[in-house]
Order: sequence, then structure tokens, then C-alpha cells
Amino acid sequence: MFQPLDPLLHSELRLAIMSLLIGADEAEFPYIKEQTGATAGNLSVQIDKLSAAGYIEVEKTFKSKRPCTLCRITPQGRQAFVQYVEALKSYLEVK
Amino acid sequence: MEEKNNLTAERSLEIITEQIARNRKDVSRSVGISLYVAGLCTMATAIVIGLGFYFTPNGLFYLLYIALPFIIWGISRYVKRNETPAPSSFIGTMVKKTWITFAIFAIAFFVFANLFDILMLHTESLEVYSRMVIRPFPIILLLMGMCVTITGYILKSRWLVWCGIIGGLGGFFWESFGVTSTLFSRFAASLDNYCGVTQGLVPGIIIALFAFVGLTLPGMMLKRQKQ
Repeated sequence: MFQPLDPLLHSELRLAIMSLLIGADEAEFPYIKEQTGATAGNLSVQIDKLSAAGYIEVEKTFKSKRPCTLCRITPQGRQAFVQYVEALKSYLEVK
Repeated sequence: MEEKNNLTAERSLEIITEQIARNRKDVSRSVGISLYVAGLCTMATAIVIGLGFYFTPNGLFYLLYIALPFIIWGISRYVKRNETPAPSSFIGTMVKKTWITFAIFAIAFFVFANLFDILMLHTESLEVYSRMVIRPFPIILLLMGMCVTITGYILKSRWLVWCGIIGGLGGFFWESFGVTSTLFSRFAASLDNYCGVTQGLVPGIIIALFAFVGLTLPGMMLKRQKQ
């Protein structure tokens, strides 16, 4: 029996962002942009969606007088990611 | 990477694996640069100290080893100044803590061994001193080798594991069993004349050699492999 996949995570860019953040304590916006290869605008929109769902938290701060956006995964986001991977397994096992 | 919602299960898995691998790669690259810089600095310092001992019987050269961690830290920061900083991750934290542990043990042991040796030299006869003297370098080389090996296991780099084992154990045995002293006694006209040299120059050469095997070489390979 297939388990439903979280539609918020079942998107290439959002999944990439979550996969990056799952292994890191926190990551800066330029780093995520570099790693995912997404445009700043698109990345910003997807980060806002994940943030609105409570999967990640975004902190606007300063680093040597320059604005710096930090993203980190929340416990809710971590749980959603684990559930997504579990659901994914059910698809792969059937195949 | 654009927003696509029609992902297959395989593609999803691929994205997750790819991002986790990227994180490991970033940490590996950063560690590679640090090892490379640490290796070159250690080699240079060891040679300068060795030559210092050889040309001037001045113990002050030895103090350069205390400055070594700061030199490595400063140069590493300078080399990495233009790089996008990798986020702190579980892998990165493990590697960092491994090396912090090494620094604590190595510096503490170095200071303790030297204080003990100075005390023994001034309070005991030369015969007692020669039996009681603590040589810090074999232990420091062994600790270094262990840390390089552990880092290799964390980063899944076979190069690091082998270089750590060879560098650490090789340096330890070479230094502790006085292989170099034996060689000197065989090839030098009189060991007594070379006693000062054996105490000063040779440990420098050994440290430089094993810093190359244990730090510079794996750092170089890690940098090249993960680019």
C-alpha cells in the first residue's frame, strides 16, 4: 500500500533545500543557492513556503555588517522529512 | 533547479542522496585545505627548528612549536577567505571535535613533557636524566596519526585512513626506538660529537617527513579528489 507523499516536500527544489538542511545545523542563503543551482527569486519563494509550513525557520541577521539570511530546519520539518522518506520507501519497495 | 512537482520516487531519492553527498564533499574539501596548510606549516616549522638547533645551540627555537597552532589557524583562515563557508553539520562537527581533542592532548603533553625534562635536567644527573627524559614527539606523532585516521573514517576517505596509519605509526616507531640515532651512530664519526645534532636536527627532520605523509599528502589528495 502506497503512503501519501507530503506535497510540500514533493518538489525538486524544496526537497533539495530540506535535504541540505537535514544534515546541517544551519545554512546561509548563498550556500543553499550555490548548492541547489536555483535562482535567488525562486529559492526565496520556496524558502517562504517551507517557512510558512513551519518546516524551516529563517533568521535575518548581519555578518560583518552585511545582511545574512540563515535557514535551519525545525523539529516539525525534521519529522515531515522522516515521514516523507518512509513514504518514499513504500514506493521503492513495491518496484 | 526549477520547481517540479512530478517527481518519481527514484528522482526524489536521488536528490536526497545528492545533497547529503554534497555536504560531505564540502566538509572534505575544507578539511583537505586545513590538512594541507597544517602539513606545510608543520614541515616548515620543524625544519626551521631543526636548522636552528644545528647552527645555534639555542633552545628558544623550540618555542616555535607553541606558536604552530596559531600559525596554522591564521594561514587556514587566510586561504579560505574567499570560499563560501560550508554550513556546520554533524560530519563537520565530528571532524572539528576530533582535532580539538588532538590539540588539547598534544599541547598539554608537549608542555608537560618539556617542563618535566627541564626539571629533570636541573635536578638529576645526566645518567638519570637520559633514562627519565620524556620525548614528546613520538606521542604527538601517534596522536596526529590517530586523528588523521579517524577523520578518514568519518569522511570515508581511504587515503586519509592509510596516510594516518603510516604517518602516525611510522613516526612513532621511527622516533621512539631511536632508529635515527642508530643511523647517526653508524654513519657519524663519533656519536658523542653528534649528540646535540641527534637531539635537535633529527626530530625536526622526522616531524617534517611524517607531517608530509600524515598531513600534507592526504590533504592534497582530498583537495584534488573532491574538486
